[in-house]
Amino acid sequence: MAMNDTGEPAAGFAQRVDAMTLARAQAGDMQAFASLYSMFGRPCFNLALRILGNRAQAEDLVQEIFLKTIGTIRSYRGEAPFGSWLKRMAVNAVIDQLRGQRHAAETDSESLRMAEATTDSANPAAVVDAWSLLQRLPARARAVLVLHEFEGYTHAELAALFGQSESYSKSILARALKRLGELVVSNDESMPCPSRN
Amino acid sequence: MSEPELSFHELTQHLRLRELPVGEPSPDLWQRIADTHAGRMRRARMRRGIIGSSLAALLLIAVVVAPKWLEPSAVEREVDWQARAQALEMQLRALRDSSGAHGDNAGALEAQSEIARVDDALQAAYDTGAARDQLELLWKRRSELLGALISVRQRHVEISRI
Repeated sequence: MAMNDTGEPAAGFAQRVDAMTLARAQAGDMQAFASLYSMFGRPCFNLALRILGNRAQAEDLVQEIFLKTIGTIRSYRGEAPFGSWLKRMAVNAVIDQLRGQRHAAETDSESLRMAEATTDSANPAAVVDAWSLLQRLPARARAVLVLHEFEGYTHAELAALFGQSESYSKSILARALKRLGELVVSNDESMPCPSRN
Repeated sequence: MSEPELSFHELTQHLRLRELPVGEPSPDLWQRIADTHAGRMRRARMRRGIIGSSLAALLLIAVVVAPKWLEPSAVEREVDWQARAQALEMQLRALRDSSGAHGDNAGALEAQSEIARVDDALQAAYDTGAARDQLELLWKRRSELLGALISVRQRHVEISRI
């Protein structure tokens, strides 16, 4: 199993795909695609779910991403790890989805139920609450926040993704954090607040 | 009222954002993807089949049928205009015999004088050893003029009977 920099097994999009599986996939072997899905289906789903906030939409997007992968994998030349290549495709698909939809800012109750059911945190209520707060951000703000803070995208990369300037990305992130802070203060009186400098 | 000034670090600590739940897609999602792909492949094959059949049909038409359509011009080139002119000459004579002597109208006279000019040209062509194509053109012209003359005389006979 491939390891990451800290010696732990690679996870998510950082997983390494063996050359044989890639070669089989590029030859159109559906079993190889099933292997790729078993490795990357979940990271794709979570990326989509965190940004879109809707399970059905996230699954549709995963389907779209993998169908596109099946159709375009021959163009993959191995310049970057396969996971990075797929992640870029997934992020682009999510951004396209955001461009094409009118976002409802309300929390998606189904997503919350899903979050409650699958969390393995020591404090499920706090995690669900975090999830619900994140879902109350506007879609673009949530996308910038998730991609920057969770997926490690730089502002320059975000600017390219959204077809905007870096200052746009920074501004959106700053406003998202501010909004999140407001939501924390107004919605979470029962939880101990961290010290402020 | 002061504005909240939580940093992202503080927010993640407070909200455990780093521990956002990870979801699992539906267990049957891969099967749905594979089925959708198979359906698309079937439709693509069907489209390719239709396009292939259409191209094959067009090719068949081009190779087999089209030459037949073009045949008339080939046949036209193969017409023996000399024999045709002679046959028309006999037809014209038979028409004259059956209807008796009669005065020709201007159209018939014009055709007759044109036929005489063509006959002179034909004679000159034979005398000078003209090419076959040139002779063919003259015989064709003679046939056309004879045909026109027959038509004129046939109409004249019909009018006389009325």
